[in-house]
Formats: sequence, C-alpha cells, structure tokens
Amino acid sequence: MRRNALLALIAVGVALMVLGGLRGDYWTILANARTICLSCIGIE
Amino acid sequence: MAITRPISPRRTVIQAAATAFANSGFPALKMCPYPGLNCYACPLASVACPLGSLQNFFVLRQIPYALTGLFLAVGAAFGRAVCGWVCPFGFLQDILARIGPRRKRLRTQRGSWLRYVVLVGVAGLATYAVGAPLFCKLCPAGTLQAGIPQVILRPGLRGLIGALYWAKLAILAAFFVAALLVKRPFCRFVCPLGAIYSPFNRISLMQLSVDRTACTQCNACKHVCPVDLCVYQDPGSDSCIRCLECTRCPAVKVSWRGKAVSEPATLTQ
Repeated sequence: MRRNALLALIAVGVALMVLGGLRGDYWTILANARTICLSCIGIE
Repeated sequence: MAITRPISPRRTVIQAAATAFANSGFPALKMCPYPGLNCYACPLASVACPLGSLQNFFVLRQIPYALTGLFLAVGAAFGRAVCGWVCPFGFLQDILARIGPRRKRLRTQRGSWLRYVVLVGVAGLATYAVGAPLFCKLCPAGTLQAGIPQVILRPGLRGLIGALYWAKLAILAAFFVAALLVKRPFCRFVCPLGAIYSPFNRISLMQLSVDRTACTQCNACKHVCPVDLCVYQDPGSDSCIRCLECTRCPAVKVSWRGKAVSEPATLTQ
C-alpha cells in the first residue's frame, strides 16, 4: 500500500475518533469503565 | 549476519512506563481507551480497556466509531507495535519469559490463527448474541488486575465468589506457567486485541525489511524474538509484535514506507 494511502487511512481513523467523540462514545466508555466490571473480576 | 548490537533497555523502560501510566490511579483519563490490554476494573486503572469497551458497545448494540478509529489509526501507523511496546500484559509475559528456563518450548507459529477465532467468536459474535462481555469473563489480565485486588480490597465481594472466579484464577495460573515455558503464549494464541492489530502488519507505515544479501539465515533473530519468529522468512508476519529486537542484527532494518530509520551497520570482511 502506498504511503499516501496509509496516511489517508490514519486520517480516517483520527476522523472516526473525533466522530465517535461527537456521538458520545467516550461518555459510553467512561460510564462502563466507572462501574466495577463483575465479569472482569469473575463474579456472575 | 548475526546479532551484533547489544541488548538495549529502551523497550523494557518504555513497557514499564506505559504500564505505570495505564495503572497510575489517576482516573481522569478513563474515558480514553488505551491501545493495549489493560483492565479498567483494576483499582489503579487510569484508562479504559479497548477490548472491554468494544464488547460493551456490542452489548449495547451500538457502533464503536471511536474505537474503530483508534484501531485503524494505531494499526495503520505501527501495525502490532502496541503489543511489543505498551501492552502491560505483554510486558508481564516478557518478564516471565526471562525468569523461566532459557530453552523455550513451542517455537512455532502453528495455532496462531486461534486468536482470530477468539476475536470473532468470543469477543464478537458470542458477546453480541448473549449480551454480556464474554471475553472479560475469561480474560487472565482481568483476573490479575481486577479479580484478585478487588476481592482483597472489597470484602463484600468475597461472598459472591463462585465457579467463574476459580475458573478465571485457574486460567491465569495456566498462562503464568505457560509464559515461563513458552514465549508470550497469550499474545500468540489467544489475544483478540492482538488479532485486531495483526492484519495491519502487512500494510502499516512501520515495516521491517531484511537485506537478503547480508542475511545468512543463522536464526539469531528467532532466538531474540519474543514470539519466536524468523524475520527473514516473513518480515510482515501477522504474529510479529514489532518489538524491533531483531534489528540488533545488521541485516534487519525498520523503515517507514520508504524512509529508513535504522540503517544496517557497515559490513566488515
């Protein structure tokens, strides 16, 4: 893959991160990360 | 050629710093997914686990735009370098490999496709179908970083311990023993996060290249590789974690799609 195509792919990735921020993805991640994940601990 | 450059502590220092940062107990960054496997239920976690977050989006039936962007940007730039440089669980396995016997077993890449099965089957389809983060229920990193410390710190959780908790402890113990005998067993055969980054190795900006005229196929690269790869056979292998240990051989160099960074050392006769 050409260097410019890869740079464009990275730019798309960064754009998706920004778009996710606008859609509230980071708040969803935070809400999930703040709760103590019982699955991670191993409690059903 | 052979390994001519000495071991550098650079990667170990970066791995230790990344592990300390991800578990610094500063929760302000918990909305930011970390590129490596780091359990966010750890009492000291300061960032979010990307795999746990990804599964949570599947459970919520939402499209993970930000996480997709993170995987795309990091993977296209560095391939699987996250595994070799900033993943705390990978760092732990590197330490265990140094403690264990010098002669390691399972020096093959057979079975490395299993991590794709775990990614698609367990962390993807089964999680979506069941509506629960199934990989988290098995994850040994979660047991080590959250299961053990949370149960110690929160006595109220002890009464809730059941078969799953003991199963997770057994899985963690098995990987500890395996990591003493086999280099990075979790990364090579199980890790679904590694499976996300793996396909980027062939196309990423960061590439390894081997000078075929200088390489004598002495297998010194395989000896120093944390995942037992012969870099001259396939420099773009999806199992490569881009740790750059093999660049200690003058025949191997890293390049950024045309721009060489570490030039081969001058050949002497």
